[in-house]
Amino acid sequence: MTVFCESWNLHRFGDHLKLAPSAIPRWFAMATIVALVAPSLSSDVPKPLMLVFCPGQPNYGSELARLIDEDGRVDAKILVLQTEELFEAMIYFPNVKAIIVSLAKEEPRHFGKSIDWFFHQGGGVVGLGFAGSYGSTGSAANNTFPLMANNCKPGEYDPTRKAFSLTLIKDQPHEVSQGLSDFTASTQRIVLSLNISTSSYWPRKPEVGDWTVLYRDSIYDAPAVVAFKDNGSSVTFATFGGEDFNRSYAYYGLFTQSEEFRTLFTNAVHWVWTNESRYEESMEKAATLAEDRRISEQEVLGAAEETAGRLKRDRIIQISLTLVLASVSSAAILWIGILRSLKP
Amino acid sequence: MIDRRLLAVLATTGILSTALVSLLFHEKAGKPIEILRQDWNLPLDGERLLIPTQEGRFAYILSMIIRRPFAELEMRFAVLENQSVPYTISLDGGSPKEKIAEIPEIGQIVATFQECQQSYRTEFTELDMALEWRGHDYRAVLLDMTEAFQLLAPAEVPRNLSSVHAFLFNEDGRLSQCYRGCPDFFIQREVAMVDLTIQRNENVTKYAQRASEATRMLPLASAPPLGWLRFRDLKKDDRISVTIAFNPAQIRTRKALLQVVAFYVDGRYYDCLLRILEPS
Repeated sequence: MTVFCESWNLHRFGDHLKLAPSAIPRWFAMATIVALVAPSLSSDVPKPLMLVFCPGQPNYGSELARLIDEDGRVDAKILVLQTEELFEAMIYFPNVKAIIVSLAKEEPRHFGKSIDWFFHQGGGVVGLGFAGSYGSTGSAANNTFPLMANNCKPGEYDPTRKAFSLTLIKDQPHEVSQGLSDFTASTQRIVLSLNISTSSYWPRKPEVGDWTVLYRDSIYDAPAVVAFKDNGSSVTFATFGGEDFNRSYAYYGLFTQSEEFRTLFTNAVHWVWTNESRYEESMEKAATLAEDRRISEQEVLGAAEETAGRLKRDRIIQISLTLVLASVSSAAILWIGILRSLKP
Repeated sequence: MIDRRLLAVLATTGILSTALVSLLFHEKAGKPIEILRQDWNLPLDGERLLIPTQEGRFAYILSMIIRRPFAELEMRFAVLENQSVPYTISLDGGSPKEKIAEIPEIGQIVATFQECQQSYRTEFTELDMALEWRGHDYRAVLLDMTEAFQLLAPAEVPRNLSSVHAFLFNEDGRLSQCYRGCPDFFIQREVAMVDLTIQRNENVTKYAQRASEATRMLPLASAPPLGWLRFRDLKKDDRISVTIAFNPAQIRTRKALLQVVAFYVDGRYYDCLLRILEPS
């Protein structure tokens, strides 16, 4: 296969003025696109970023983003992601301040270590559904979403409504659950740490950090909402892993209309947002590292200019020597061969 | 007897013409590097490179010669996996970049990156090139966001992050193929790569899955991270070669792969090689 490259236009943003003249028309085209896709480009400091990851459930992701937006207490740019690879990459982006993860199904995920890293850096995290289940997020179910869940159990089934429900009983007082009392939500199941032999809740809690159970479910007495503060801050819901399919028992619309869920969820988001300690530090670190890189690039450019200068000097010397030697030798030959013979 | 004056005139003319030729026809400092060889020893179906399914060692060889001295050469390798093309993209009208902005998630991420350019220098490389595949011309747009993720992530992490994206547009301007992957010499370095040889003139460094002191091979994990190779202080006629060998039976995907080798000379983009490897 033949691969041919036209003259490349390298757009290293921030380097636009250095574009070659041939790149200028494209630069104009690109500027138009930037204007189209990034209307907030004019503001100098972009809003901190909040990632919402709801694999396979884009509508639920958008609904969670809408609830946060509607609440208005958090001034964030919200990015709703479905693809795990993209989500995992974005976790390392410097201006991410908080992450919401909702997993509707139990399946092994790769991002566990990355979210642990984010939490360890001081980030704010909210987990829903299977986020706190070891089978889905691995180590993150212990370190970031500390439910240590190894199983899930159904809520109470109401044949007349053809729906499951869980009654959440208020436990320890916390800022997130302030003003709320016990409530029943139409949600299908709860993930929990289960003692397989007795089929009952097996109490487990992390060895470090400040672990607070805000709500327990009425059937298994397992933690249903947990706030955790170690390096970072997290609130983990053992349920509410909503699905988009509107005839599913886990359809998100069954519980997102409930005032209690909305208040609890937005309080949780606000709490992790205000308690995280990563953002400022990571932005400073990113700026420092970017500056280091700029200096290193300048060094390379300096070395390149030096090499180019040396080549130019060598060429001037070569030209001068060639001219001098040619002139001297020609003059000598002419003197010996012609001028001397003309002497009387 | 030959006339001395005639001899003198001839000698002077000879000297002056030699000097003139030397000055006028001096080798122009054109391309800094010249690719001498760039090929895979993979089975071919016509012009298509096929990834076999059986065990074996299949290698990619890239060799080049330096044509003029310069300070730094960086080669960035990446192998990207084919992804399904989003059906939400409008088929007609719009430039490739507008279409990329329409792609769910990718468009939002690109916009986010662009916004962050204002507050700190996020490296975000965007390349635009032509590619011929199966007898058709394509326009390939490559987005490399690796450096933005690399800023804060621990050293071992970025290798596994999908930070390079490629989009192929057909002659009608329609988005035809999408690729996504990690920057590295080959996908799944830990399992799929067999060995890697990097050579500059007489200096050879070999990395292998089964490293040993006896064979002077280093572990593959210690090979340059992200598949970025950097050579400094390059002299005219320096020779560089890179050999990447993999075992197709160990590859966990059966999707088409897009191999990318981007060259940066003195910190600035110079050229890029693209190859599509198809499953057999």
